[in-house]
Amino acid sequence: MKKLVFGALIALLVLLVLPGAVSAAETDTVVVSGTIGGYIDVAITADTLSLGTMTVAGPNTAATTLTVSSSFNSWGVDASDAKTPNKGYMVTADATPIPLDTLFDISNDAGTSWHQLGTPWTDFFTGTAGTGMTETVDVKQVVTAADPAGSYSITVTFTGASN
Amino acid sequence: MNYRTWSLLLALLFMAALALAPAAAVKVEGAKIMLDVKPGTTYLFPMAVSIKSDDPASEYAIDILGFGQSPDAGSYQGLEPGQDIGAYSARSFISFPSSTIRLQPGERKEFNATIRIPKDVGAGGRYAVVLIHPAAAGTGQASFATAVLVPVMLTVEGTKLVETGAITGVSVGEVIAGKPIVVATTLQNTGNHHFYGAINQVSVRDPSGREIGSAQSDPFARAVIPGQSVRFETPLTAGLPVGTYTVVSRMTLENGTLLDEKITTFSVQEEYIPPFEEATATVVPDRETVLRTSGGEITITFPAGAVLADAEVTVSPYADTLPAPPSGSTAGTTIFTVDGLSGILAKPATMVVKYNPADLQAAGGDAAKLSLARWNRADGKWTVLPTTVNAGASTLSASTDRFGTIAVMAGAKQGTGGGKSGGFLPGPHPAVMFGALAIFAVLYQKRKK
Repeated sequence: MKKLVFGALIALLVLLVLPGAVSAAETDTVVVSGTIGGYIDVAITADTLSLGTMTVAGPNTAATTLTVSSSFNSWGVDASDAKTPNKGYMVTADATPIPLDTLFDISNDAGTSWHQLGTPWTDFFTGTAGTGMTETVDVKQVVTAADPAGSYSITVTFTGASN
Repeated sequence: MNYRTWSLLLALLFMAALALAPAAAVKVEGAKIMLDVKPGTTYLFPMAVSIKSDDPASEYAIDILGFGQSPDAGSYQGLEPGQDIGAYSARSFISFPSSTIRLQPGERKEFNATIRIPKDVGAGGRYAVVLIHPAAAGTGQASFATAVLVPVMLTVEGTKLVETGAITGVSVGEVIAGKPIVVATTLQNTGNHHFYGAINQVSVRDPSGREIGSAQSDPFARAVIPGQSVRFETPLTAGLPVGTYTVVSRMTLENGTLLDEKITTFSVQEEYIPPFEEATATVVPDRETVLRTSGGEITITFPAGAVLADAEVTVSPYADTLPAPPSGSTAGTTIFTVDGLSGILAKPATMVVKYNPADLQAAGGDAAKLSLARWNRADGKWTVLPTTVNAGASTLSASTDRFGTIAVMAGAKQGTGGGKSGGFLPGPHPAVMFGALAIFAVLYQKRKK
């Protein structure tokens, strides 16, 4: 009997405390602003490029244009290959994708220097506030004699952010 | 089809080829969430995502991630939940009405980011990023996608903000004549709040403690987030005799507050010659113009009539990785770019370039093996210019009707020069020339008939 009374008291206590706990979790809500703040607009002229039938002799290159508009005083765009595994490699569409032997290359200086996409390219393009700012994107795939014939692909993502 | 139709068609094709519209784009409004927040309060932050009318219908995913930074440039990056283990994460505070947004061509959708600040949030700042990216990968051979990362920086009002940092490493890069000596300093934010505008002040002292060179980085444009580390690379360009030197790296805030200071040493085995200072001149059509660096390392003479319109031309040290030199040759350390000329000169310019001991060393001490070479971006090849060597004055001279990246090469076989003159400036894109010629040819044929 004592146990029953004790249990009932505990249950009553919980019921009394619970509304208080819920009340404590309630919050004020603040709408930050009626208008929407600064923007960044990242665009690429061609969303796909063909490197044609890639050969060992190459050059297996193509180019497109990245355009950024932003109201922020300082911004940057990184280039990366989001997939894992085989990050930075062109791969087949098989269930277990087969990568090419060599990492995919990208350039922002017309091919004078190339960056291999095994790691993201931080600050591929940077700038200040303005509209229609452009950067040429060159891509290249080196093919070796060891690469099996097939259809390979890669998606390069350009991610813009305000600083 | 008559000639008029043909010429119209050609012109339209030509114009269409030149005026490609963006085909993949995303615009995010409200692309930075930076708020002073009160514990126990919920904030609604308005945002919008849109695509252009010529974009295909697209679906975008909204990922809420931890706030990470790349060590090399401090670029903001998303951390997956498993990696977002710091005490300053705001990832769990943020939610959206939906984790995806589907947009039709030209459509713009508004929504709110809901940010619930716990009552016991604690002191300082709280951080996260929102990544808005295509929900699916592309299907082409080389596909491109665009995404926007929205940094979220929340400062808890009424709490003690601690903005402190610690240098976790200082290293000095290779000492190569003609190239800057790069001092790399890694700074970690050890406080509870982010800070902008960190500055690295670097000074070089000789064994007696006398300062013989210094450099200062620009205020850092990005924030350094609590717990994150960012590497600051500050180039030194003071000439140094052979010896051992001390480098002092001082990281401060823009207001001068010292974050941390560290010292390291490095040795110079051969006299260090710093890179030349950038120089600019306006090249005009009606008279000779001389572009010369302040130390006289490079002199470029443009004769009258070399350009058809005024052109502001800049010569600057080349800092990137150099393309592989021609077979059998070695690149020296004197490498520079000449910018501001978009086409071929009507008359060739003359370059006189002083070579340095490192260039000579690349040639095994034989100056006769040195030459100037130009990197042709269009075909991805070097052109070795016919070069005159003046060993007495330690100079190399060559004529060229085009510029770009120029390097001192050792052992390169001299090929053709800068090409025959007769071009014009500014040089139009080859497609423009081809299109104009095609239209002209059609019109000419019609008139002939």
